[in-house]
Amino acid sequence: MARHLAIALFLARASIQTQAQYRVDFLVQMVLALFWVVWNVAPLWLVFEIRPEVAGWTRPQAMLVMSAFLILKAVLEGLITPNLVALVDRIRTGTLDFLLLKPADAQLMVSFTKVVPAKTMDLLAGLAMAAASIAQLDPAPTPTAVLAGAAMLGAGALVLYAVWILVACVAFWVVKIDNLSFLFTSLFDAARWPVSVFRGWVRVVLTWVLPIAAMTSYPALAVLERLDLVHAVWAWGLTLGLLVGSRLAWRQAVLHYSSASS
Amino acid sequence: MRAFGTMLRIGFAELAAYRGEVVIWILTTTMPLIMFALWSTLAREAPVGRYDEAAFGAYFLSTLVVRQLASAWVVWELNYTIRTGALSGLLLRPVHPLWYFAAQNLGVVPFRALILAPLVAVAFLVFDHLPVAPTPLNLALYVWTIAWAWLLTFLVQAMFGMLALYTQQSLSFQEAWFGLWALLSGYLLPLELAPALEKVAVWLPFRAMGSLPTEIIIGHLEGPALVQGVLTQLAWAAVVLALVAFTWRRAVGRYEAFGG
Repeated sequence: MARHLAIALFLARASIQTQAQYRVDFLVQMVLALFWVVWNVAPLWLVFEIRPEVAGWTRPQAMLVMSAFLILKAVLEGLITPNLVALVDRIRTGTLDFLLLKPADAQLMVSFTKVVPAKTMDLLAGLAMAAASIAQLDPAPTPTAVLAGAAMLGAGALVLYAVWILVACVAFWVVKIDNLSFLFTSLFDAARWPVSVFRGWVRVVLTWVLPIAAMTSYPALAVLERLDLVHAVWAWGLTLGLLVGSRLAWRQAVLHYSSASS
Repeated sequence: MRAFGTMLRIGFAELAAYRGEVVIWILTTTMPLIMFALWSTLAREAPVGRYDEAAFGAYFLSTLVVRQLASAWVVWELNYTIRTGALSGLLLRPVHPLWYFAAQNLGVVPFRALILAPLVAVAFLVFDHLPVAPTPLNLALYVWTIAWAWLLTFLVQAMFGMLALYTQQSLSFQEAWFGLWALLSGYLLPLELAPALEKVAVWLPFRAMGSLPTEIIIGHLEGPALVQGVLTQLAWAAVVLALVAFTWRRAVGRYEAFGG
């Protein structure tokens, strides 16, 4: 375990060092990241200027959902998508060979080869907003509720990761999947509002089929102590199932891999 | 002019080869629908200003249509051709490269319209009455302002694309521009719901390439405001066209044909 952690940290550090070479670009990215945070929050903020409550949520409560969205989006765009793109490229060009030869777990290696440090801005903004929203909640949530919220958020991040590993496995058979990642990112945008904003079959799909909205609404509901046990168990059950499933799929995919270069 | 017709056909043929990808690209425009979900939640409790639920439906449906039709990707194309040196080949042709890119970007518009048609039809079925005001004048102005919005979008992108001749990579500018555009063009909310924002936005180019056609087709723009909107759009088109012509001449002199 300690060895795995060391490998992951080493890979991430190497990636950050590579990108820090382009200093101007790095700074521009940081400034842009802040701008996008404001951009994302602005409509929700305005809505609560017009009404005190929307779909049963007050402003601090809805901002809690928004901060969960920002945190997961930072994980998605800072860690998960860049690595997927890099992996697809490796499969297409055949350089995955070199990685498979190394004496460490291949899934671990492909998961941490690329880190986008500018996304830490989004992550920090999300954490700060979460803290501010929690401080404004009345009644103040218990420490247990906050921990439960963090656990649900962790489940969300793991689901994102597992789904991406599954998508990556598809790339071993169908090489061209970059466009799928754009589609997923734009679907994930729906997670920015509390799930009760959506109605009818859209809400059903976003809760149970593509549990995108659940990823950000459940953590908030857990902090507010409004999440019932059935949903919490369902969410973690799905998370563990997807993790195991994606691991098995990865093994199959690597066995199937027939290098493109040789 | 005949050459432009041929280039349009080539653009359309290129698209036919990548139709699957184009469909995915169209599907990635989810933001108007996501915004509609939020605003319609408000409107269901009580109308917001002039907007009830159906009005928001019409607004964001038209926003989606305008976004799809008045779109271009010449900034990515220019960045790519400059970085790889492929621009050399285009510069050797007897037609200005921007005409080539314009044809390529325009060739996709009919296809986008084709994909959007069923979506629009479904929306009209789902809502009993979408409050659109398609008088002949409004309809004509809708098409007219979308056409100019397309031209503005194309020229602004061409402008940012040319910046790549100075900075090698100009996609960050485009990203920042898109963010500003979305905030000030009525992409995220009808501008009249944020009066302070609207006061500035009516004079900026963003609305002219954003919600102007939409505001016309749902009948919210009349009299002097309508004339002002249409004229502001033309004025910005003239300004940007002049800027592009001026920049192109100076920028292309810096072209080094990497790898060419």
